[in-house]
Amino acid sequence: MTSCLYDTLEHLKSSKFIYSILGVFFLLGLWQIGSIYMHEVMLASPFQTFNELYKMIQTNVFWTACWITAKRAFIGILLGGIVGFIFGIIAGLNENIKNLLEPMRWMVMSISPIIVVGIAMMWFGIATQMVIFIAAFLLSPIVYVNTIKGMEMVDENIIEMANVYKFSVFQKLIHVYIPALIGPLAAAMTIVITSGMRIIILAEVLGANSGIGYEFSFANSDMNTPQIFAWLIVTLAFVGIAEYLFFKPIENYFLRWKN
Amino acid sequence: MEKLIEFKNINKTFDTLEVIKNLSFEVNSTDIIGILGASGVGKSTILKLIAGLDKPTKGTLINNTKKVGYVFQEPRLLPWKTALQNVLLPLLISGKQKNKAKKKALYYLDKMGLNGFENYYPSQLSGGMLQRVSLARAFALEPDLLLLDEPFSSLDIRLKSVLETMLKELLTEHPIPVLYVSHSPEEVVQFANRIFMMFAGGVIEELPVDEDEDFKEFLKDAFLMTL
Repeated sequence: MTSCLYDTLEHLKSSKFIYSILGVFFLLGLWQIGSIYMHEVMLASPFQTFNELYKMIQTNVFWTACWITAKRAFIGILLGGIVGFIFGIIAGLNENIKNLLEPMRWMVMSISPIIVVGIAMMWFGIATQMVIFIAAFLLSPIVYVNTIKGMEMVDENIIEMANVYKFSVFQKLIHVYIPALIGPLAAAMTIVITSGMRIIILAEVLGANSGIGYEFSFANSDMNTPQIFAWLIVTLAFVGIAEYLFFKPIENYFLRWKN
Repeated sequence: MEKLIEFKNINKTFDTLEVIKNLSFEVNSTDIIGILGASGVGKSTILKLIAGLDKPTKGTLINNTKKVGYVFQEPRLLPWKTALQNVLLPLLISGKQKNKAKKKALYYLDKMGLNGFENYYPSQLSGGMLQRVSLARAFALEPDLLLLDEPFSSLDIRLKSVLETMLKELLTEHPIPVLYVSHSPEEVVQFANRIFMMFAGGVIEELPVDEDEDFKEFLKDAFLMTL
C-alpha cells in the first residue's frame, strides 16, 4: 500500500499532472471571463464563489451537510457496488441467470432517475434511506454490466489451467475471476463515483431535508448565486477526493502486477 | 509396473470432425511417452482427455492418476500472482501444508534457475522464465503423470535447448511418467522411452525406440510422411 501511495505521489510530479493543473487554471480563466460578461445573478465570479465557500466552511451547517452527503454517498455507492458485483458474478457464471436478469437490467438502466426519485419518495418518504436506495438502485446495473463483461473477458486458457489443477468454483472466483475483474471494475468505478455523486445530489435536491443537495436547493431558491457555485465546487471536491485520494491508491495497489 | 492410463477404443468428435478414431493405448508408471504428429492431428486432445478437460465421445478411458501436472504451449500463469505464488497455489489447493508447500515451490523454482525471481510478477519475466515457472508448477505438485504439450514450441532455439536440458535433469532427479506431445522428432527422441506417431484421423502407431542416428533420421522421415 505504501508503494501505491508513492506511485500516487510520483504521478503528482508527472507532466500529465502538470497539464491537468494547467487545465484547471484554463477553466478558471474561462469562468472569470464569463463572469465579467454575464450578470452576477447568472454567473458568480471565481472570487465571489471562493469567498462564499470560505464563509461557508466556517459554519456547522456546511460540515453537517457534507458529512450527511458523504455518508449517503459512501453507503449508496457501496451498496450499489456490492449488489451489482454479486449479481454480476452469478450471472457471469451462469448464462441462464444472466438471461433471466437481462430484462431487469434493461429496465433499471432505461428508467429515468426522476421517476426513481418519485417512487423512492413514495416508498421511503423524505429520508436518508430514500437517497441511499436511489443511488444503489441506479448504480448497481453499471457495476453489474462491467462485472459480466469482465468475467467474459477472463482468459479461457487460464480457466483451463485452473481446471487441470482442480480449483473449486470458490477458488476460481478468489484466484482467477475477482483479480481479473479489478481492471474492468476500476474503469466502472470512475463512472460509478461521478454518477453516484450526481444522483445523490439530485435525490437530495428533490426529496431530502438535509445534505449538500438540500442546502443547494435553499441557495437556489434564495438566488444566492455565489453559494450555488460554492456548493458546485464542494461536489467536485467530493468526487476528486473519492476518486484520486481514496479509490486510485486502492486501484494501484490491486493492479500493481501490471507495472 | 503400474498401469496409469488406459485408452480403450476411444473416439473424439468435435461437431462432425472426427479427431480421434478408435484409439487404444496405455501409459505405465515407468513410461516417458513421446507422441509425434503434425499440427491438428489430435495430439493435444489426448492430453486434454487425460487431464479431464474433455470427455471422449465413445470408448473407455481408465485413469488411475490422482494428480496430473500439465505444461501447456503457453505458460498460463496467473498474471496477478508472483512466480512463487503461481507455483504455490496448486500445491495449497491439493491440500499441502503451507510451509511444506512453500519449501517445495522454492526448491523447484531454484531447480529451474529462478532463484531470486520468486517475487517477480509474470509481466516482469521473459518468455523462457515464464515457461520455467510453468514447469516448476507442474513438477512441484509431484504428479502421478506429467503432461507436456509442446512446452518449448514458442521459444527460440537457444532457450529451447537450455530448457530441454533442465527438463532432462529434473526427470533424472525426480522420475515421473511423462506424456510428451510434440511435432519435433528431435525433441521427443531426447526424452522418450516409448514413441508414438500420430496420423490424421487419430490413428496412432507405436515405433520401436532406438538411440542411434539412423533411428533419428527414420523418425524425421516418418514424421514428414504424416504431414
